[in-house]
This record gives sequence, C-alpha cells and structure tokens, in this order.
Amino acid sequence: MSSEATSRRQIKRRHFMQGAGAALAAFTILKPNLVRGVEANSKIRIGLIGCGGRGKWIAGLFQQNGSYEIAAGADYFEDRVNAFGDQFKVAPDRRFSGLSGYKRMIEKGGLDAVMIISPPIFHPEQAAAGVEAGLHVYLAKPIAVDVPGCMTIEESGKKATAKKLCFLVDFQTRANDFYREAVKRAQFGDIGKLLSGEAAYQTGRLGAQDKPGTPEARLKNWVFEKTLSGDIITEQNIHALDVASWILDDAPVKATGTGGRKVRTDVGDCWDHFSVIYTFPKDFILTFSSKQAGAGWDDILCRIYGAKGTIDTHYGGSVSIIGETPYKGGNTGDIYQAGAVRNIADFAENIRKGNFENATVAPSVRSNLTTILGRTAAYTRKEVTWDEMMKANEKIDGKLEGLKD
Amino acid sequence: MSNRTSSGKRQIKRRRFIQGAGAALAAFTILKPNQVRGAEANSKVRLGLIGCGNRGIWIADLFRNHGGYEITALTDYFEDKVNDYGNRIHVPADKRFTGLSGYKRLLDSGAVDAIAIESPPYFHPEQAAAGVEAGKHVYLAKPIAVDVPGCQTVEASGKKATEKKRCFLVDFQTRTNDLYREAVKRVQFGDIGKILNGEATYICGSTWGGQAEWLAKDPQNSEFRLRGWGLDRALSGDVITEQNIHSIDVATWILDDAPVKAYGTGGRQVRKAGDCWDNFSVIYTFPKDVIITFSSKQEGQGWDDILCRVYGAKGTIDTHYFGSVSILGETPFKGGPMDNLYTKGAESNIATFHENILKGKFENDTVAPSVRSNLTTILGRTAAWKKGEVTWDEIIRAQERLDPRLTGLKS
Repeated sequence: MSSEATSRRQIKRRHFMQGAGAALAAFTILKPNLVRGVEANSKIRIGLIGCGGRGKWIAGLFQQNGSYEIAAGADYFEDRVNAFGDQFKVAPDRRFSGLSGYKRMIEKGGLDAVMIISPPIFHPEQAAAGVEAGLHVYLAKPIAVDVPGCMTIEESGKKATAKKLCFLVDFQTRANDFYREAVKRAQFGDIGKLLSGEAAYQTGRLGAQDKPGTPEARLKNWVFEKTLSGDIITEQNIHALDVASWILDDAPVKATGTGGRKVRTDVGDCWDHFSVIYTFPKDFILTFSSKQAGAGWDDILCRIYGAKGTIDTHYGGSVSIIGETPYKGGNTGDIYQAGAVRNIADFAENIRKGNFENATVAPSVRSNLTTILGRTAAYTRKEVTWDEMMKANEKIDGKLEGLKD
Repeated sequence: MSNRTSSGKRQIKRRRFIQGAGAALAAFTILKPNQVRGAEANSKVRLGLIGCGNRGIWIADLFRNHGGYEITALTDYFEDKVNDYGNRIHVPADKRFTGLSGYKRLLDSGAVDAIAIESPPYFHPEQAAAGVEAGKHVYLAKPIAVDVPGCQTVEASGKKATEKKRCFLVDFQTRTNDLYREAVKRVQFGDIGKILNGEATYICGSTWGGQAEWLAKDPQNSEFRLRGWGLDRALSGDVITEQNIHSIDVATWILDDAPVKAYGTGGRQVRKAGDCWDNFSVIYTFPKDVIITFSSKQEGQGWDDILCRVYGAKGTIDTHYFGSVSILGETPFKGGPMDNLYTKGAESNIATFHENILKGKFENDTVAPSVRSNLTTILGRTAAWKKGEVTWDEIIRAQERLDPRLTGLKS
C-alpha cells in the first residue's frame, strides 16, 4: 500500500507537479485568510524541538531573520532546554523536557510554527504532531531513519498542504543559486545524454558528547547510533545523494553496497564508511562512497558525466558545468549557514504569502529513501531493489528504554 | 585451493616482497660479463618492435632517443604500418615482418637482442612467451593480458626470463615516478595510519576516434576489428583492463595486496562503435575488509582524472596520474605535480630496461605486481559483465579465455 503510494515513478511525477506549482505560486495573489495564525505584520512564534548545538545555532539564525519570535523550547535534557531558554529569553513555563516534552510544548499553545532539530529518529512523530496541531513545520534533514518514517513525513507534508500549512525541509544545497542553476542546466540538456556519475561524502570523525554506558549518554551520542541517526549514509551522506537524485530527477531502481567500522570504534555502532553502487532507470550507474573517520580529505561531492559535459558540485566548494556548454558557477563556501538562512527566509515568506505547495517534501522523501536503500544493501551486503525496500517497510526501533517520558 | 596455485593472491604478494629484496641486493652484485648475452658492453641493444601503431612508433622513438638502442626489426599485422615506420627509420625491407605470425619471423631473424611489445593486449602473452623462449629481453606494454590464462602465461614468462638471465620489464609509468614511489613507501610505512577505505577512478573522454571509423565501415571484418582493437572487448580486455589498470594498479600497489572479491556493473550509454563498455563501476573487497570503490568512463566530456586515493586513520594518500601526488594528514608529504608522467615514465622504464640488460639484473620485479593488478582488473570486469559478485578464487579457477574471433586473418 505505502509502497504504491511512494513508488519511484509517483515520487518523480509528484515532484514535477509540485515544482510547477511552486513556480506558479509566485503569481498567486495572496488571500489574507489563507495565512492562518500569523497576522500580517506580527512575528511568527516558533518553538524549537531539539536544543543541542545545531538547534541553538539555527534558532539564532531564525532570530536574526527578524520575522520570528523564539517562543518555546523542548529537549530531552532539562539543562539543555534551560541553556537555550536563557539564551533566547524563553519564559520558564515554555521550556519542556523529557521524550514527550515536544507534545507538552505543542499542547501549551501560543505557537505558529515549530523547527525540528532533534535526532532523526524523532522527526516523523514530531513533524506529524506539529501538523496535527496546525503548526507550520521547519524540518532538518534527514527527515526520517526508516521507510515508515519517510512515509509519515510524506503524509504530513500532504496534510500540511491540505491544512494550509507550510512544511519545509532544510537542504542547504537546494537553496543555493549555483546549485539551482547548474542542476537546471543539466536537466535542460547542457551535459547531453547522461553517462554515469559519482557521489561521495569524505570527512573526519565527530566528537563524542558523553561517556558511553547509559541510555542518556546514548541519546547525547545519537549521531553515532544507527537507530537514532539512521547511520552516516542517511544522517550525513544524504547531502551528496540528495544532489544526485536532484540532478537525475529520479530515484534508484536498486543498489548494492558494503562498508563497515574500522577506525571510529570508541562510541556507538554507526559504520565509519560505506560504498554503494546505485542503478537508476535506463541503467544509469551512480557510484557512491563515504567515510566519517580519519584525516586528510574532506569533500561532499556529486559529479554527473554526460556525453557533452560534466556537472561538478562540491558542498562548500565550487559548483560548475564543464564541457561544450560550460557554466562557470561559483564557490558555495558559506552554504552551511547561507543555505539555512535562505530556507529560514523562504519559510517566513511562504507562511506570509500563503504558499503551501511544500515543494521540498517530495524530493526529500525521495533522497532519504535513496539513502535507506543504500544502507539496506550495505548492511546486507546484497543487492536490494527499491520495491523490495518499500514492501519490507522495515521499522527501526530506537531502543529508548530507560529514558524518561 | 586456487590460493595454492601459482597465481594465488598470497603467493603473488610474498613473491613480490622477495623480489623486491632481491632487486635491492642486485645493486651490489658485481656484474659478470658473460651474463650479458647479446649485448656487448658499450654496444647498442638491438631492439625489435612488435606493433607499429601509434604508441608503438611513439615509444620506439623514445627507445631511439635513449641512445642505447638500435631498432633493427619491425613487425605489425598490417604492411602499411610496418612500411610507414620502416621507411622513416630505415629498417631494411627484409627486417620488416607482417601478418599474425610476423613476430615469430622477427624473433627468428637473428636481428634482435630484445623486443618491445606494443601490440593489442590480446597478443601480449603469446608474443612475450615466444620472446623469452627465443632468448630475448622483453619490454612489455600494459595491460599484460586480457584474461586469466594470459596473465599466468606472462607470470611464467617472467620467471623463465629470470632463469634464462633475461630482462622482462612491464611498462607502468607510475611505478617509475619518484613522487608515487615515495608516497606509496610512506603509506606502507604507516604514515596514514590504519587503512580505512579508498577510491580509484579513471574518468576520461572518447579515446579511440580513428579506430571507430574502421569499425563503422564493417564491425565484423576481422582486419577492421584489428585496426579498431581499442574498442573490441577481446582484443583490448575492455576499458577496465586496457586503460583503467593505471588507477587500479596504484590501488594494489598502495595496499600491496590483491582483492578477495568484487561486485561490479556498468554498460554502454553513449558509445556506438565496437563492443567495449563506456562505463564501469566496481566495489572491491580487499583482505581485512578494506573497500576500494572504483568507477570509470571513456566517453563524454568535461572531466579527466586518473585517481587513486586511499583514506587512513591518520591521513590520506591522494594520487593523480595527470595531476599531483601527496599525503595529507598528520604526517604530510608535499609530493608535487606530475611532470609529463606519460612520457617520462616510459623514458625511465626504457633507461631501466637498458641498465638491467647491461648490468645483468634479471629479478624482473615488475612482473608480479603487474600480474596482480591485471588480474584485479579482470576480476572487476568479470563481476561487471555479469552484474554481480565474483571472488578472486572463482576467476582463477574458471580460467576463462576471451575469444578474439580473428577468423580470416593471414598468418
């Protein structure tokens, strides 16, 4: 059932339609009554779910934007939500802790929107609760760690549109003009018939947040936990694979993968390297590899080769097309912040103008499922098809025993 | 079982180490003049060229420029090719040989001490074996062979050459380059720490323009297929063996090992002529589960790179055949840019070959690593052609021979 709803082809078609819808929206005359919960010249009252390092960082960007009021916070850890609350002057009765803190924050009322910057395992339920409560949702990648989670997000995105709510998934690349222009040109045919491609995410390790051993330390070290993060291919490498599925505007038919854990073995159970070969429609092959340990090389790459040219993209580096119809592009150096700033501005504008196409959801579901396909193939060291993955609909257990509600 | 055969992964590795040690010792060996057969001290090495195509002529000129060689005989299947070059460098008409067996007549002519084999790869094993059998020193272009039996023939020829006190050198340019050598040595010494994983790629554009024109005339004509060998699977070994071996050889050199298994795929998206693929993608698993991700293409535009990059716990070795070689990380090696490696690597090998002949150095230590990397390309190709997983042991056991389908050619 859900496998039908999210078949590769449907995702592709839906993406096209939403793209067209988004373009038309620029010419839509705003009907004020569409703007639910946000008065024309008042600030958008937003609550932060997940008050860790990135949560506080992005809340600061929301504040700097000027359209938002940071009005509430929820985090499992009381000290974290208090540190956030003190920094952003959030009233003590609008700070919530525990696994269900986000529910109490939403029930308390007084919010127009939520930003979800919590560990990925929680994204689907938190986003669904936000939409259910009539709030606009700003969601960090990855949207989910498993297929059912992706389906939930897809539903939430649709439901948001039906309820005239904004739902924006924060991919920085998709908000960057060099990426947008280069992808548009590649899709227009500037590199000719597609031949093959590479995606890679090579980087060093992240630091452990706590000494392993307790359920709470596990939560703090979520980025090293397969079940909480989705493993590095979903949690982090999605940046490279999202660009690939964007350029190709398609989802893979199947994947074969491998990888393991060789160097970063002191914390969690996430692998420290992956290799996957994806087969897209028309037997287009995308070769992917990644690592999250070691030293000496950092690159978030997607490069697609065509009969007439090559599109070469590096997150934080240069984006260009080389070949018969070149595009000089440019350096995306500050994309990590600038992309978020742009998405935060778009989110405010969408809310104010009543633009509820929520065009970021479908491509995010597609690339997130692409990472899950590669991960499934890598874990099993076998070939796995998209259809098999959708049919299996495997749910990941977050193993949250021992944590307080 | 196959690990106990002469081409077992482990044996290849061990043998290379022993030969490496032997090569180092050889520098101190006092030359006995009677070991230098067929090349008097201070006289030129008489060289026969097998394969008078573009690269054959190009490299023969490098041999001539070296000063220690005289090109005394030529062979090519095609009379026009032999005569074009023979006329240019004044090789007597009776030292020019044509047809598939022309190389045999060249070896029987008494005109050569050594041969340079620059023919299509399919012919390399039989030509190298005949050269050693005839007591000639052998300079062999990569790839050494297109299939497993061919690799094993070359391996045996290398050993036989050593026994017969003959030089046998396989021409990989990277292995003669000081920056590649230094970087690889440092990695093997531990400068990038525990090996994590790696990438090898060979990304380039269309390579065989002129040859495609022959195939366009009649793709089934054996002579046209021979002229268009670079686009013919059996004659070239396909892109991964014929060309991509440059990056895969560096990977096996750095890791100093052969893969246990491979998964592969690829195909033809753009290419029209011949039956070689235009893109390959392979995941190799080496011992200790070290993964090398490989991809290549030989059509299209905009990007060219012959890359091998291996990631370790403490650093990364980053090598580009047409770029720079370096180590980044805790113990960096600045390395530097390649200075026309394509030509200078060949010149270096030509000089080494000459010196080995004159000094009687017959360790022939380029053979074993070349057999290993060549088999690695065949493993990836076998996996890719079947779009599945294949183990090293399986390809060694299968002993699959490629059929060149060269009916109707003149001997």
